[in-house]
Parts: sequence; structure tokens; C-alpha cells
Amino acid sequence: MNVILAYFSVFICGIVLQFGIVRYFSLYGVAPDVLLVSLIFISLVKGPLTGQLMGFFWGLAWDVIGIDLFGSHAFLYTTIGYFTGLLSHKWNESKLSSQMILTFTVSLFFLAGRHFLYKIFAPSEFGLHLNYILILQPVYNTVIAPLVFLAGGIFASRVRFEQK
Amino acid sequence: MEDFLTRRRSSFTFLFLTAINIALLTAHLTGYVGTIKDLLYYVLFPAQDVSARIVRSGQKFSQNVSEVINVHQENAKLKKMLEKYAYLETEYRRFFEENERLRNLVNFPKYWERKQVAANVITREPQSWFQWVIIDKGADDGIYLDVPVVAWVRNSPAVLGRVAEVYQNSSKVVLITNALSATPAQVKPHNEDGLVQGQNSQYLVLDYLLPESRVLVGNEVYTGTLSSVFPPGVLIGKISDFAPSESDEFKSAVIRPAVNFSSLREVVALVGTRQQR
Repeated sequence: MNVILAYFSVFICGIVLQFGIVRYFSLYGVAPDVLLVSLIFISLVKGPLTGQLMGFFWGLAWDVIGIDLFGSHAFLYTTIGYFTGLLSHKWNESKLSSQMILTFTVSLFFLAGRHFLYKIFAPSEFGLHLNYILILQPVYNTVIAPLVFLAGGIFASRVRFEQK
Repeated sequence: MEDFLTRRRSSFTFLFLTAINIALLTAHLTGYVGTIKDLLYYVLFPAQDVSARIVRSGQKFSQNVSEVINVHQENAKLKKMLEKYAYLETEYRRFFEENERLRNLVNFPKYWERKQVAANVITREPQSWFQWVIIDKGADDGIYLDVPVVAWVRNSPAVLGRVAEVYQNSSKVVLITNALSATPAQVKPHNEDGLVQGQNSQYLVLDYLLPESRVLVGNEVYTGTLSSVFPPGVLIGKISDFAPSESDEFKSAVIRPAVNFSSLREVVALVGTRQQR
């Protein structure tokens, strides 16, 4: 029961953080994707099943609250959660360089995936345009990755999550 | 079979969720999908509301802290200004009173044909409070022994004392309240004569009043024509009471001096001409 409550609280905190507070940390219109970085951490620590489920629900929440292509975030976050979870215990998430490289790569994949989904499912709607935001977004995510991983590690140890 | 499903649980879940996601992507926001989205929005709205409240309360808190700091700084600044203005007000009052006294000195009448030398009281000893003072004028200013010294009281001069010791730039004045001081006096309006003696206190005694004297409490006492120091007609004080006399032949009265001996600031020495000297 405690674990379910812990996951639920993480879900809610993620929503509150991403949609309420992160916008105050934007630089020249670029805000970090805290949910994405948190998803990477959870997937690496807990494995593919937890990662994809968390990704699905976070992605669905984003699609509900936002005005993007409905289902795009759910699809991408689910995919990222699954494949990142497969790296669990194969990738050293405690190293700073590992955190940053993985986060940067996944952020690029996310942007490319969004562009791909728009091309297929909504070619007439607003899509992705290459500008400085698309370039700086992965960099910003990479910068905050160590902080998110540190906070996640502290939280996980407090709630006594068992690592697979 | 069961073991296979357990080990592939995450893969099957991924396929299932992917199917749902593709369904959402292809369905767009029509019909049931739109309804589900609206429903989920209402479910998730409290989270957004909470985040907005958190941000607002944080902003309010920081505003309050900022205001408290500003108020504290302003308070300190205003306190300093208040102290400064309190000091200025004290100085203003002091200058105002000094101005009034000096104005009175300037209007001092010259009907005694004597040179008036204004001086400041610079020294006064607590143990000799009613006995003597030192003024800042001396021989260099024309002061000599037994020069009468008066003070200005409500636009008229009043007896203070006489010079007993003279130095180059200062002089010692024996006050009329000194026990060694004795000044011939006259009581108005009946012009009755008597002798004013000091008591080393704030009061004087008028001696040698005849038993049938018509002197009353409130009568004013002036210097008499018999005084060798003071010119006649200078106010000494007022009768405040009658004192028991040592002799049956005369009666005594208590005089309250006109000069406020608690607050001596500027005085005037009446320096005579060479012939008068």
C-alpha cells in the first residue's frame, strides 16, 4: 500500500512541478522537461514495467492538460519508459556522465518522435519547427538531470524502494 | 506458460499500452475520446490548482518577507529622522529662549547712565548654588570691584548680585541670596525702607520693618536710595510671607526673588563712568 501511495504521490508531484512551477525556471522560452528526466530515472531504477506505466500515465496527463496531438506524449513516454527500463542494471545511473548522456539522447529521441508522430497522425496541424528551443531543450534537460537523479535517489531511499 | 508470461510481462504490457496510444492518436478528439479527455481533465485539474496555489503562496510569502524587510528599514530610517528632529526641536527651543532673553537685553533701558556689559554665567558650584557665580567678563571688559550685576526678568532688570572678585577675563559675582549680602531696599507702594539679607537659599529676608508697617504679601521690593552698590529702583522681588523677627522692635518679611536662580544664563553688569567709579 505504501508503494502505491508513493507512486501516486510521485505522479501528482510530477504534474504539479511540470505544469505549475517549472515555467518559472524558463530561460528565453526554454523550460526543462522534468517529467521526462524523472521518467528516465524511474525506468533505470525500477525497470521497464514501472517505467512504461509511469510514462503512460504521465504522458496521458500531459495530453489531457496540454493542446498537443492527443496521445503523442502518452505514446512517447510509454516507449521511453519501456526501452530505458530495459537498460536497468546495465547502465550505471549513479555516474554523472551516464545520467547526462542518457538524458540528452532520450531528449533528442523525444523531439524526433514528436515530429514523426505529427507527420503521420496530424500532418495538417501544428508540427515541430526547428528553432533554438528545440536545440536548447535537450541541453536544459541534461543540465537538470543530475539534480533530478539526486532528488530521486534520496526519495527512493526514504520510501525504501527495492531496486531490481 | 505461466513462467513465460511472467518473464514477458513488461513486453506484453508495452504492446497493450502502445495499442491504446495508437488508438488515441488515430481517434483524435471526437466522440468518446473527447469525453474521456474532458473527464480526465477534471480529475487532473486539482493538481494544477494546487500548483497554482503553491506558486501564489510562495509569491505572497516572498512579498510579505520583502515588505517586512522594507518596513523594518523604513522604521529604522524614520526613527533616526525622529531623533534628529527631536534634537532640532530642542535646539530650536533653546535658541528661541535665548533669543527672547537677548532681545530683552537689547531693550534694556539706559536711564542709569551706566555702561551695560552683557555676560554669560560660566561657572556655578552646586555647593554654593545661592552664594556666587562666575561670569565671562573681567577687567579687560571694564569690570571692577562692587559692580552691580542684574538679570533681565519680564522686560525689566532685577537684582542678581555684585562683583566681589575681578580677573582678567572673568569675575566672581556674590549673589543677593548669599548670607553675606545685605541690600537697602524699599517696599512699594508705601515706600517703606528695610534691609534685604540673603539666607544662602532661594528666599531673602527683609528686616527692620517697623511694627506698624503696612507691608502686605505681594508687595514688590526694590533697591533703596541708600544702597551704595545698586542704583535705586531695581526690582529685588515680592513679599511672599512674614517671618518671625528676632527683635520686638522690628518685623521681618520673606521675599521671593524676582530672578530665577535656578536658571541663570545671561546677566548684565552695570559699569559706571569714570566719575561714578
